[in-house]
Amino acid sequence: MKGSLLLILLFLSGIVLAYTNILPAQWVTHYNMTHWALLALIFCVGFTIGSDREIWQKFKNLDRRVIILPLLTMIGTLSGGLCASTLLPYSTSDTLAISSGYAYYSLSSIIITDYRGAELGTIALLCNIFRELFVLLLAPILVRYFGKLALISAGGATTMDTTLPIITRYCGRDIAILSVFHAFVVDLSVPFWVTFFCTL
Amino acid sequence: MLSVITCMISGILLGFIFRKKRFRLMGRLVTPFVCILLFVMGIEVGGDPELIRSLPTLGGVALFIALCVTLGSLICAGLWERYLKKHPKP
Repeated sequence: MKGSLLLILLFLSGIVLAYTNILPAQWVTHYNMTHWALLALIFCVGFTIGSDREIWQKFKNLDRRVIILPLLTMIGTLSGGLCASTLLPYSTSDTLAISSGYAYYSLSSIIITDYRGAELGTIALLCNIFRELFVLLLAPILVRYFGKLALISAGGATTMDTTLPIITRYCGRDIAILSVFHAFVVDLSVPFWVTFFCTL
Repeated sequence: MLSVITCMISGILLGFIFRKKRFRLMGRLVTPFVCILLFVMGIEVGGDPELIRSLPTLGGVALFIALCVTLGSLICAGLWERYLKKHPKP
C-alpha cells in the first residue's frame, strides 16, 4: 500500500510539474522517455524471470484451466462496457470500442480518433490510462478482494509490460508467465476489437 | 510492441545464461524503474494541455467506463478463480 501511494504521488507530481512548466515535457516526449523506461523495466523483469530456476516448474504446477483467462478478460470487459453504455449518451458500439482498448491506450485511441474523431479518441485514451492506473495503484486491494487471476485480467493488454512488475510482486513469480501469455493474446486482439466496433 | 517483446526475450535469455551468477541487482532495479515510469507518464500527461483541459468534461465519462470494464473483468476472472478452487483438478 505504501508503494502504491508513492506511485500515485510520483504520477501526480509529474503531471503538476509538467503542467506548470517547471519541468518542460518536451524532453520526455522528444527522447521518448516513457518508452525507454518501459524497455529497461521489461528487461529487468525478463532477467529475473529467466534467472529463476524454479519458474517453469511453478508454471507447470498451475491449474491448466487458467489458460482461458484472456477470454474471460474479453467477456468481462465487454460486459462491463455494455453496462456502461446503458447509462451514457454514447452509442453501444462507441462505448464498446473504447472498452476494447484493454488498457492499451496508445493504439486504441489512435484507431478510435481515426474512425470516430477526437472526442471519442480522447475518452478512449483517458479511459485506458485510468484502467492501467487502477491496476498499478490499487493492486494490493484488488488482489485481496478479487484474487490473483482477477488482477491479471484487470491489467488487460498491459500485463506483460507496465503492470507486470506489480503483478509479480502481489501474485508471485509463478504467475508471471501466465501474465505474459495473457497480455500477448489480449494485445493482439486490440486492433481487431477496436476496428470491429468502430465499423459497426 | 515488437521492441517490448525483444527486450523481454533478451532479458529472459540473459537471465537464464547468468542464472548461476545470482544477479540480485536486476530484481532490485524493478521498483525504481516503475517509479521512473510513473513519473514520466505523469509528465507526458501534464505536458499535454489539451488533454488536461478536456479532463473535466471527458474525464468523468472515461473514468466511468474504466470503472465498469475493470470491475467486469475483475468479477469475471475472480469467479473463475473461485470455481477452480472449489473444483480442483483430480
